[in-house]
Amino acid sequence: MDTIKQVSTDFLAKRQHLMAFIYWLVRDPHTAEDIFQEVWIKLLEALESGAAIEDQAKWCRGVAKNLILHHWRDQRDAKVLPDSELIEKVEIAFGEADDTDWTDRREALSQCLEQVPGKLRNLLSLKYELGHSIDGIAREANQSSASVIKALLRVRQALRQCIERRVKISAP
Amino acid sequence: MTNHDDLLLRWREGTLREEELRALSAWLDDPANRARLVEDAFLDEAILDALKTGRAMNGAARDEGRRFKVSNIVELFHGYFSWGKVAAGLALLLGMGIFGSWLAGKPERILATISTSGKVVIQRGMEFLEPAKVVDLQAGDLIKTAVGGNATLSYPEESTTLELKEDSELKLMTGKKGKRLELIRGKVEARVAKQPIDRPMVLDTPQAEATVVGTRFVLDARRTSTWLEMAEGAVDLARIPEAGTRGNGGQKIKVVAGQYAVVARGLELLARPITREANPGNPAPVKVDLFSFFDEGATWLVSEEEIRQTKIASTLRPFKTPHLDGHLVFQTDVQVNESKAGNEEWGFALQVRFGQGWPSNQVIRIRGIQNGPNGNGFQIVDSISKRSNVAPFFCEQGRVYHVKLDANPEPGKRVTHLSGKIWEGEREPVNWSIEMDAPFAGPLYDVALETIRSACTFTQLKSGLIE
Repeated sequence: MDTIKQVSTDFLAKRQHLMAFIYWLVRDPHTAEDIFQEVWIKLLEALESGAAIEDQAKWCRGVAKNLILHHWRDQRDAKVLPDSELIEKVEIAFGEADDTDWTDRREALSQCLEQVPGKLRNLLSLKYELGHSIDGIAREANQSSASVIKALLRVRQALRQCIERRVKISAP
Repeated sequence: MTNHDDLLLRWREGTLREEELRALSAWLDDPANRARLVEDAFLDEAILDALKTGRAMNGAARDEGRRFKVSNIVELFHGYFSWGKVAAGLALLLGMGIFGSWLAGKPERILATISTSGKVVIQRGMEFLEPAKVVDLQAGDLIKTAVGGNATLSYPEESTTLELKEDSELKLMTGKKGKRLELIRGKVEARVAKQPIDRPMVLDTPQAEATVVGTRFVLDARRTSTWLEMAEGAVDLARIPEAGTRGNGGQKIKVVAGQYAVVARGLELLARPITREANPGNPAPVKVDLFSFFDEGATWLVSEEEIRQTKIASTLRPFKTPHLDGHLVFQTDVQVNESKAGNEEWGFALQVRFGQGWPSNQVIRIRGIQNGPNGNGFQIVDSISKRSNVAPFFCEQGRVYHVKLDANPEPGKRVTHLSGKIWEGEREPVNWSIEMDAPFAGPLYDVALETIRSACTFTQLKSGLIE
């Protein structure tokens, strides 16, 4: 029981790292959520079968990677799929950032987002929450894709700068 | 925007070509770039998470129908940029000014009005408007009704009305050849005046396309299926091919007054009569292929009338079904003819398997067990979570019992709600005997009948799609 408690504590502590890894690779919030939960189920199954897991974060990324590969294979309409080399490099990148703590930045981001005007927040919602494509958003808004791309990049850039500024202010 | 910004952006969009994927891969050889990618990914995930958790607040802002104001942009950047970065700020303001022009677009006007009750929102582009403030509907308008909400669209120059029921989403499309609407989810009750033959009204759902010339019907776009119930006239209903392209490739049928039809993956598209036994409120029959499996021991006898295990044995007889997603129900009648003597466990089970195939399938067993560890019971067991639930049940040999399993998945929550009941006689009890949640494991794979140290006769094996 203690092991499960420890495993879930570690899993929850690293959930944002894992979710960021999955979400970046699958690019769809709903699929990312599904895969994330599948990893948790597999982790519990592994524990139940008595498997020894040395590095839990790495293990979870490995399982997520396999699930993502399965997901891509099922995407019959996908034109070009990334090869395993690219995925491995992304896996390495996240491994290198295992100790990165984004807690302060996340806190700052929530505050920055509150100040984003409704229309731009709707743009972020369409893109991130609903997973709409840029072309789809452009069609809905009767604008060119280039306009949407520019706006998205600039909102992200503004958020990035806002985060940095807030983190600096709150730093001791 | 640098090349790499462009690559990362188009990676997120899934539009990279093969050589660009290689370029992205090569870019990641540098540890500094890998760190940048991770930071990018953390930002994406944090935005997603913040938007999800802040949904209620955003919703309130949307309900106000808040319009885009320059002061909002100023507010966004106020304090975030030093004076030395004014130029950058101005550039950003100019960039965001792009959005100002979005309001000035002139989408096609639709000659329809809307009246609402309860909570209803119209999404126009990226604005959320109060219906009371909307004079004309436009192509692209998305009408969303919340639970308890209701919206009626009327076309003033004809007696056509579309009543959008609660918890539904309907989008008005540009229809060069007649009215075109997309029922994204939920239910619409339509009274459509006669339309010109070359300009019919077309209603799209995620699974189907309904072409209407003039009629009265109810169209219901559910999670994995579309249901059409005809009251008057006729509608051409087409299945949208799985690849996602619409057109002649999809199967098409005509559904007339007094009939209903269901479009769902793996289900034959047929116009079925609306009767008390079969209507859109009840399951659409799913074919269970009785002759799809040959057991080598040849101890099972299978016919249209009955499926019988002739010897006392612990065996399994699977039957193929379409690989359906959605809310399903399974039923069989069972009679235990003989069982092993003594105190050993015996009984029967209805198995339903979900997933992509052996060995990773999830097996849900609903079984009547005598002399089991819990005594005599009726039990649901899930092979993935190893969870089970049991209710007391005493089985008498030679009597006929009706067994029913309801499996209602919520893929978003990764859970399937399971309910089971067992009863004797004609009158089906209203309540379920046992209920349990199991992890969601994918679409229906097949069904199977099982004997546990017994010889049984199964009849009336049925499967149906509810949603």
